[in-house]
Amino acid sequence: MPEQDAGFLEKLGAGTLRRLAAVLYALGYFFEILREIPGFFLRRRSGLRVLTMQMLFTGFEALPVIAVIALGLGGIIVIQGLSLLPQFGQGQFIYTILVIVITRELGPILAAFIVFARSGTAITTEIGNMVINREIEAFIATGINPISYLVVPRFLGVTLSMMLLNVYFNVFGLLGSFFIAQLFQPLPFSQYAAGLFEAISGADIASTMLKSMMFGALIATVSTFYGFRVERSTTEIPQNAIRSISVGFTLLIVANGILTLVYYL
Amino acid sequence: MKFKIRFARQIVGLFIILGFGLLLMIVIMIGSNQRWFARNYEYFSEFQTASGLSQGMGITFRGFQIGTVTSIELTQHNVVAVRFNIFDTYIDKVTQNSVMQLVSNPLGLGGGLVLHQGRRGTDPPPEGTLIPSINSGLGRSLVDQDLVALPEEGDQIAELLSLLDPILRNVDAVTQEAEQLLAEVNAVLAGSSQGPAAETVAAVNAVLIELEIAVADIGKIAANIETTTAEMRDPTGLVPRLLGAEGSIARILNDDEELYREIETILASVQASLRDVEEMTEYLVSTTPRFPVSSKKVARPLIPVKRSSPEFETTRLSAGAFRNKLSNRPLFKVSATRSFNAYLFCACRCAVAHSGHFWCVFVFSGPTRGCLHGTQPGCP
Repeated sequence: MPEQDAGFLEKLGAGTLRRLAAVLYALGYFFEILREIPGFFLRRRSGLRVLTMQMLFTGFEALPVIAVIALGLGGIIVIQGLSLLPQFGQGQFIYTILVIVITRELGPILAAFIVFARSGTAITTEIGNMVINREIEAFIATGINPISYLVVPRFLGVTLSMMLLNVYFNVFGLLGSFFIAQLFQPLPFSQYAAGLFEAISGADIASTMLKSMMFGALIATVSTFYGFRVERSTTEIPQNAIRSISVGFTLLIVANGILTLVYYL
Repeated sequence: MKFKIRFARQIVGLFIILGFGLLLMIVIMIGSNQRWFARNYEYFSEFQTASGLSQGMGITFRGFQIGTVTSIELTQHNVVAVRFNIFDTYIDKVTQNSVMQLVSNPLGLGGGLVLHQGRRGTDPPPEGTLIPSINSGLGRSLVDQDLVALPEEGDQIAELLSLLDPILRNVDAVTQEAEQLLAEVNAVLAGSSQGPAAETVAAVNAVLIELEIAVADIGKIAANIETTTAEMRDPTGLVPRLLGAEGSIARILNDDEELYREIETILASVQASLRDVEEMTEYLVSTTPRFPVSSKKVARPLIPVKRSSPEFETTRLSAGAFRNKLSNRPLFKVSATRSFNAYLFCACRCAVAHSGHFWCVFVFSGPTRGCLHGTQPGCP
C-alpha cells in the first residue's frame, strides 16, 4: 500500500507539474505575442498583408453568418418578449432584455464561437502545415521571428475583426428586432431608438467591446498555439485543430463568466 | 485575380470604417439620449434621514423630471447630504428661495424628490449651493415667509376615496349582477320561470315522481322477495313443504297414477256426453230441412262479423271439423240411421192409417213440425 500511494502521488505530482508547465508555456507564448505587437506597428508594412487577409477572411467573410444569426436572435427575443411581457404590464422591458441578451451577453460569445469555428481552425491548420513544410524553420533560418511575422498579424486581425463583428452583431440584432417589432406592434423608429438608447448604457458598450477584444485575443492565441504544436506528421494537424476548438470554447466560456462577474461587481 | 483578393485592402478598410462608424454613432446616440454631453448644474440639500432616497432617483418639478440625485452621504453632523444635478434645460426653474421636499406615498405610488420654486428672485442660485429641505429650519422659515410657491395640496384622503369610489361602484354592480343571477337560478330550480332550463327542471321533477312510484313498486317486490326468501330459509315454510319429500307436488307425482285415472274417467264421461250431442245434432240436421236456408239467412248478416273476427272464424272451423269428425264415425252413422228409421216407422204408420198416402207426419216429442211428401221405402 505505501508503494502504491507513493506511485499515485508521484503520478499526480508529475501530472500537475506537467500541466502547470504547459500553462506557463502558453502564458509565455501569449506574452511573447504581446511583446511583439509594438514591433509590428514600428515595422509598419511588415506583415500588413497578412493582417489584411486575416481581417478579410475572419471579419468580412463572416459578416453574412453573423448578420443572419443576429437578426434571428433579435427577432426571437422580440417575438417572445412582446407576447409575454405585456401580459404583466412590463412591455417596456423588451428594450432591457434586448440589451442584456444581444449587447451584453450573447452577442460577444456567439460571435466568438462563429469566429473560432471558422477562423480558429483555419489558422491552426495553416500554421500546422507550415510547420510540416518546414516553413517555420526557414523563417527562423532567415532571421525572421515567426511570432512577429505570422502570429501578431493574425492576433491583431482576429481581435480587431472580433470587435467589429460584435458591433455588426449588435447593429443587426437590434435593427432586426425593430423590423420584427413592426409586425406585432408598429411604432416609429424614433420611439424604438429612444427606448433602446434609454435602456443601454456606456457600461454595456464597454463590457461588450471588452469581451469581444478578449475573445479575439483568446481565439488567436489558442489557434496559433495549437498550430505550432504540430511537429512531424500531417495527421497531427486535425488532431490539434480539434484540440484547439475544445480548449478554445472552454476558455471562451470561462472568460465570459469572469468578465460578466467583473461587470456586476 | 479574385475580386476580394484584389480589393482586399479596400474591402477591409470599408469594413473597419463602417464598423467603427456604427460604434461611434451608437455611442453618440446613447450619450445624447442619456445627456452625456449636456451641461448639468450641481446642488445639494440636507435631510434628517435617507429613508425614501436613492441614488439616481429623479427630481421633479410639476411632474417633469428636471434632474437626478447623484450621491447620498451621511455627514459628520449626522445629516444626510443629498447631491443632485439639474438639467440645463430646466435650470431656470431653480430660483432663489427654492426648497426640496421628499414626497412619499404609503401606497408606493408617486412620490420622489420634488422642487418647489421660490417666489422672489429669477436667477438660479450659484452652482454647488444649498437648496434647503422644506422640513429643515431654513425651509420652514421660507415657507412661513411665503417665499415658496407651494402647490395647492389636495386632501389625500379625499383623493384616496375618489380612487376607491369607482372600485366600490364596480363591486356594487358585480354584486347586483350576482344577485340577479342567483334569483334566476332559484326561479329555474323552483320551476316558476320559462325557458329550456325550466322545462328541463320540470321534466326532471316528473321523472323523479315516476321514479318514486317505481321505487315504491320495487320496494314491494323487494318485500315479496324478502318474504319468499324468508319462506325458503324457513325449514317449515311453504316452499320446502311444497318441494319436500312429503310435499304436495311430490305427492301428486307419486300417487300411483290415481290422479291420471281420475282424469281419464272424467274424459270418458265427457266423450259419452259428446256422443249424445252428436246424435242429437245429426237428428236435427236430417229432420230440419229449412234450417240450412234459415241458417244461410242468419249467416249472411254474420259474414262481416265472421270476417272481422278471427276468433269467430276459428270457432267455426273447429265446429266444422267437429262435425266432420262426427259424420265420419261409422258407428255414429249406424246409430243415427236406426234411430231415424224408428221415428219414420212410427210416423208413416200413423199417416197410412190416416189417409192411405205417403204422407208422414213428423212428430218429435212435441207439436207437429211438418210433413214429408213422397215414397218411403222404409214404410211397411
